Amino acid sequence: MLRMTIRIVVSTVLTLWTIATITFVLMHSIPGSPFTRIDDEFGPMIQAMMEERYGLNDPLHVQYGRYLANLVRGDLGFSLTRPGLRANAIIARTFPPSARLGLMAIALSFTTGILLGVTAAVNQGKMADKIALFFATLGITTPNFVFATLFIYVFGVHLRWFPVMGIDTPAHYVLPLVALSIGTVAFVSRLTRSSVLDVIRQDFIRTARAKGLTRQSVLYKHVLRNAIIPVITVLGPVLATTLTGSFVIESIFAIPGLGNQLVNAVSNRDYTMIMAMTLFFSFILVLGNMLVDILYSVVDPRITLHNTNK
Amino acid sequence: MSAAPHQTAVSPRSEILRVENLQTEFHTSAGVVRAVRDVSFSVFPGETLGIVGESGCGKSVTMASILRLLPDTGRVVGGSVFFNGADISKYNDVRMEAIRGNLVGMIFQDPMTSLNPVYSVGEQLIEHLVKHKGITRKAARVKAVDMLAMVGIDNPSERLKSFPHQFSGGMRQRVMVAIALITDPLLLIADEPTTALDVTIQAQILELMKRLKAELETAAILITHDLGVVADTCDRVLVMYGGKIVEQGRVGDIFYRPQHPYTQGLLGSVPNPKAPVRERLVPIPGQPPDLLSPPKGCPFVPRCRYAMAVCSDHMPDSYPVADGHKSACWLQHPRAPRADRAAAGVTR
Repeated sequence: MLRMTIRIVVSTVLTLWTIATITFVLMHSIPGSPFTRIDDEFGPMIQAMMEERYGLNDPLHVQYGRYLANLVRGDLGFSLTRPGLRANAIIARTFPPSARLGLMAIALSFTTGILLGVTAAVNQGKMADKIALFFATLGITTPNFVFATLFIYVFGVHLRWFPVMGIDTPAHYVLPLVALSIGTVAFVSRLTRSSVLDVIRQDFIRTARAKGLTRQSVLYKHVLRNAIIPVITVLGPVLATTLTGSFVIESIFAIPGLGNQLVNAVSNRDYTMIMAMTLFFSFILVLGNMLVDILYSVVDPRITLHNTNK
Repeated sequence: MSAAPHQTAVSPRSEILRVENLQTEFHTSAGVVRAVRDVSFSVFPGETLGIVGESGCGKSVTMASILRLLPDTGRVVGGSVFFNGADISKYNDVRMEAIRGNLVGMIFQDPMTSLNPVYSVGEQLIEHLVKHKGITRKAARVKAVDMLAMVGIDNPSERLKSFPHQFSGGMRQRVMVAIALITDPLLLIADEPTTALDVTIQAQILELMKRLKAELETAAILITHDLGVVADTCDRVLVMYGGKIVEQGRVGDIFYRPQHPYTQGLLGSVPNPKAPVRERLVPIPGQPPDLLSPPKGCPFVPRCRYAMAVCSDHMPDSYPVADGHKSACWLQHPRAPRADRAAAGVTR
């Protein structure tokens, strides 16, 4: 257990350090300065002062050393576009709304996706399967901003069922939640369907039926537990992308989330924020993959977390 | 034995299973495959019935039809199945579930894939026991430990917690035997239970099945294409060809007095290690019939050295040869010419 923990911590730190370095190099190899403005609003004097103030004139290795040293202390640095605000504070403020919406979207999309996939699989070739295929194709191919705009028009403006701006009440969550989930629902349902169809043909399912178990028991106990394994695999990346917020959904529904911040940071050339958020995203991804590993070992006894200790 | 509500008292000589005119079809993109064509037979208490025939002759489909475990494309289109005195061919799914895995246990060919990899052996041993017998999981676990010990697995209470991948192929087949027999079934159906195992393990599994069958007084159907296995374990034999039963009788009848040319050919193609001189194996030339468009007459005609004009047009009845020994061949017709058995290459 101790060895396993050490292994995980070391690999996480290595991963994050690699990503931090790559982002740092990439950011600083972009020509120009974050304070370069097309309209030249600052003037060369102010620009030089700003660059001096944020240490952008130091040799690259010095900047890199300072960056890493701060990172070790958990300091992601000051935002270049919002004076006096640390990246930590911005993330701490904008992550919770994104994460709350994201977690709900994941719960919604995996449960509905799995249910739809199973239904489609057991009705293979029948009407239910074809309807599910139609909606899945629609869900996968249509960008979520189309759904978001459509929902706002129909349920927000026309029918006035749900509010469309911000996240003040539970009702505010409904439209962004559905818009955010549709793509994942469609993807998860297709994945589940093919996985269930694969498992249902296995010999051990015939054994389960030959034992006189009910259809429900065969399906939900014997088929699903095996069919869920590939679905768990996609949970890691989906978790990272969804928790850290969708720029499109957050912009359309005016949600003060992380996704919005990232795009602002990129367009404003806010080096610190870009690096901070890339690193934060990576950290969530690492956590997500760790969760996937744990879930694997829970679902499938052939997979163990500490197989290197054997 | 068990206390299922539909079970009626049966006299010891009445059959456990009687199948009458069973017909099964598969609907495929190429057309309708008539896999089982008018099959009738019985299984009596305590006996072991062997079903032999080459691949695709309908052996396994017949068994799957009886328990209605066919894949989605398959359908029983005719005939009746009487199990323990009741006509189960009209039973709905729920009533069939009360028979499967309860009154009829099944063992399959490949033990490596027949157990669910994500559940412990203990769980797979007790889930249907709990369902069918309505006992507590605790009581079921006690029974499972006994059962594992009976099939020869060491340290059974520990092994109950193990997963299938922690067992070898032979051990897994022992577990399958335990799963099939834990509910004290009236009938055990074993579909090529030793085909996927290596020879020494084969013998162990067969020995185990024979012993448990005797201890639990269960009747058994053994599907196989291994005539050695049949000779070793069965009381009676059905020989299937092209979706039909072509010959049936006691093991002695089939091995020493085979009447149907197909059975004779089957025996002629088995090596005899005890033969005084090295004899050539005699294969049966040709291919089995295409059941997409089954022949009108006897399915064996194209490969039969005795084929007569009548054979292609009319399927022969099953003619009694001796007590319990029947052969579906025009040669058995009272007015048919006598076949020269020596010419068929049958030396045993």
